[in-house]
Amino acid sequence: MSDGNGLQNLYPALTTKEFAETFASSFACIVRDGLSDTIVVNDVKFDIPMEGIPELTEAEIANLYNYIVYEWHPDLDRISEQDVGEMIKKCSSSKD
Amino acid sequence: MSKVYHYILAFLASTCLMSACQQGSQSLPYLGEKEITEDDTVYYTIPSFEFLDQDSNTVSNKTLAGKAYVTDFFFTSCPTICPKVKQQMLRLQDQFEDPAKLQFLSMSIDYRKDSIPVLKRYAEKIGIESDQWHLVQLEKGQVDKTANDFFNIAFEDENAPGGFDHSGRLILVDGNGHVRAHCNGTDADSVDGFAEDIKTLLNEG
Repeated sequence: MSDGNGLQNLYPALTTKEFAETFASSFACIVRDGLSDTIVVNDVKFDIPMEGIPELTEAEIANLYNYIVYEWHPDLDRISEQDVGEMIKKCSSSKD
Repeated sequence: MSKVYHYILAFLASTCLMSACQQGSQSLPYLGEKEITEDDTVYYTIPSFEFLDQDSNTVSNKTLAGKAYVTDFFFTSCPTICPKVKQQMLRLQDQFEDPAKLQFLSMSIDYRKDSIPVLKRYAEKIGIESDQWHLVQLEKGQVDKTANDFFNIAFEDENAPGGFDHSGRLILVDGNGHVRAHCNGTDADSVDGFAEDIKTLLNEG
């Protein structure tokens, strides 16, 4: 799990192309607000809801994101807390 | 207060455990408060309980009598320590695959959302069967006491991620309802030591 590979069909891996292609842009909203939609990662459906952690600051969310990028997605750019603020504006509005 | 008391006792008992190991002893200590009478020692026993698991089967101190089991507290949408604890529980299940020898009881503290169908789906996702591993939902008002009964701390906290706060402690209960070992379920090294304790208990016969 700390290797980024998730856990069985319960928690999806963070190492996948889906992270880079789909979830990188909504990462801040997923961490902050949780997720209750069904998502598909590595051809496996994940549909157990996850609560968000709304008390995380933008700087903390940026640190989490940058850790994942550093470990498993060196091709993605790292982000700042300002970037997280922008990301939240976009991903919150796209949900409405 | 009694929560703190349990922790202190558990700590003292684990210290005893270490010294017992040094003496090459092959049995586990009895954790928790014990009552010493003139001619007998009465060890702490898990108070009676009765739940329905993910397959709507009754799981209680009676159905688990005579069997060793491991317990944890969790909830299915938990965004913090639960994934790590479940990973360690799955490691334990890999080591002790025989339902006749060791059972698992995972108690969800989310009395709002973790209904039997939700627990069933969760069980399917991690590939566990109710003949060995029971997922049950606690009722509102039952959480604090049940956690305390099982040497854990769990309570509703609107400021905690997901609305509940709980520790990742695992405990080992023997066939007579006595608590014999515990570990930190988020820490692989701690769980390795706990697995050795389980072997010791199963070898006690």
